[in-house]
Amino acid sequence: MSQPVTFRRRAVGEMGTRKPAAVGRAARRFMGKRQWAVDDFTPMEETRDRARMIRLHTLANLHTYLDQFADSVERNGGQVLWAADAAEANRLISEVVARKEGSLVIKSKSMVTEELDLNAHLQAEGHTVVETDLGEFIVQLAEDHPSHIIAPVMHLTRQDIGELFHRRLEIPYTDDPEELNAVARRHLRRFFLSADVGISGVNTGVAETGSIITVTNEGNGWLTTAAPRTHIAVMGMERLVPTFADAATIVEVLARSATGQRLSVYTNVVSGPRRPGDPDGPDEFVVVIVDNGRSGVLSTDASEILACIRCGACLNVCPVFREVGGHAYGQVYSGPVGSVLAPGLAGFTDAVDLPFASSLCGACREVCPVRIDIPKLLVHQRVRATRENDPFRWLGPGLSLYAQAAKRPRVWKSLLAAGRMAGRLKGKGEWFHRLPFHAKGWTQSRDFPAPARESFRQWWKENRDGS
Amino acid sequence: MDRSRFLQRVEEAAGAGTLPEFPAPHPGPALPVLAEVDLTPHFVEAFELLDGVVHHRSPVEVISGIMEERGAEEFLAWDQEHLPADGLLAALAERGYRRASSCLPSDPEGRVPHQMGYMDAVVGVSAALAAFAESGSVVVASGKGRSRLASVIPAVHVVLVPTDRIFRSLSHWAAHAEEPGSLANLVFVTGPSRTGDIELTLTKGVHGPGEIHAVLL
Repeated sequence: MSQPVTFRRRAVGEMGTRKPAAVGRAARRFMGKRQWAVDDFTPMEETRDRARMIRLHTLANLHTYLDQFADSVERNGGQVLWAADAAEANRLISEVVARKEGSLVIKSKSMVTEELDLNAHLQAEGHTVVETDLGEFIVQLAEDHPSHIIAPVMHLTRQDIGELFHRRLEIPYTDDPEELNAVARRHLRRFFLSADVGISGVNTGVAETGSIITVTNEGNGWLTTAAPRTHIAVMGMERLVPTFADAATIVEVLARSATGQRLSVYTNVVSGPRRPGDPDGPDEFVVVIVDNGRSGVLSTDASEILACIRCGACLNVCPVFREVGGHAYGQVYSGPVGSVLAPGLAGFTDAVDLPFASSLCGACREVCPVRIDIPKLLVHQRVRATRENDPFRWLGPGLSLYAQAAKRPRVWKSLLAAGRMAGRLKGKGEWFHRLPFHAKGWTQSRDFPAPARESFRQWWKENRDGS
Repeated sequence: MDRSRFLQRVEEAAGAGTLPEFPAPHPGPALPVLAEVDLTPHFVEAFELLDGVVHHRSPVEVISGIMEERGAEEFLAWDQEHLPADGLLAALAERGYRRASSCLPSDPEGRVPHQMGYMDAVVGVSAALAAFAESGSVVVASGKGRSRLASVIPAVHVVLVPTDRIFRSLSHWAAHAEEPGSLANLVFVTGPSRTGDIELTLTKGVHGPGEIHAVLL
């Protein structure tokens, strides 16, 4: 096996910490909020259907809409750059940032730049990069990684954050969220107003109008795209819709699914640099369109996953995610969507076991605002993982051993008798928590049922006459 | 990678992959057909649910009230010709409040010091291009004389909302919006700035205004 650290090993590590409890609490609260927003909106089901159609239609015709989008951005006075992979995206972004030596860069939350590891790249070139989303700011201070698509520090408690601010920002310890928030506001304000470059992600691009839409609750997205002289929007190539009305549908289902809001506080539509006469806004607007493995995913049986609008609902509802948290996945995208997407983007060597980190219960499919059949895609990815880099080489020989035993009644019966004896020796309880030898893999993440005290055949022999 | 090669790669990938069946052709906006109603009370209810404050008094009274309460002297605002309240800025000046200029030079050297001057702005005044009754949102648009920073920098955002600009929902407005891409920036503001990043505890006024006031006109 080429896999150095498996999901299982990371999950066991995470479960020994305080993180999973924090994640589980937060995920349950998210689901409550989502349910309120879904019940609140009568045409929710029809709107989900429509959102699904929009996204699938766009993916099927993606090259046409990308072409139209680029024309529209240029018509609005913006510039479009095309990046085949992370290295190219980082190079293109640095070229824009490096027009001034030692630039101050502010960022609003963007998962695609996490994929690129952009911050490290820009910092290595001598620029200062400041994350402005409160959660991402905390992640940056802690030198950590986000553990959830929309709630990056879901795994931290207020005490963790209080401790961190005390240590890194040299303020007296407090774990009051209001006070911590006020500290972050004061600290970040001067960066907003003096930054040279703002880098944002893109929730949705609009082909017809050349607009990019970012969705935030804090206002950092608006400030990042309004205050600095240069705005660079980094967009995963699949994040498009054809028309402005389509975008309206997407942001309506996004806000309800993600945070249980009717609309996010700031749905920010940027269509190019400031126009002549505008008193503020960026003078320069650059969109970097990133492939970085997406065309690879688009060419497979799992291409439907690219319809994802990154709401995070499938994470919140997933029984596996709730127990282990986002870091156990070891990838930028975690939870059910990450288990499909990450092996596609990062390759089947790095994330080969993620498609197996699911019980296929289907809760993710139930809540997905664009009704992606995630369990089906997980199975597709399992097939591919097995074909390309079999993570379960023991499975084939194991099954043939089983077949050998099952074909021989005498061997089978004596194995069962041995199992029953082990069950009796074990005493109380109906489950084995630990099996010996090669079978121990099974009980590393689940229990094995102990055999009944007597076999059905024995029971039948004793009871059929007595009845 | 150049544009044509990038697009060719995408086209080939889409051809090779399998997407589930979906209805074609792509349908138009699916908007619920609803009876005509007065949308103002719906907007007010949704706006207040988010802790927004609705005023029916004159804008000058509302703004000077907030300025006085906060002990503020300076405010940020759009140009008078873009505010749907005649003589508002002159009336505020008469009461002794100063409007700080939020017009940024394009010259990079001049821009930053100018911007830093907004650091402590308390009140920002702008107007809604449209509003959505369902979500309690206001649409703030950029343009000549319409500063973006005036709406997002200050601690309190006062937005003037003409009631004839209230639509049912974002989708209803989007279906009618003419050339939404012709303005550099449109923001649908739905309540005060907030975060739940620390243990999902709702906290207001993170980077944007912690208070939003709608003055209905």
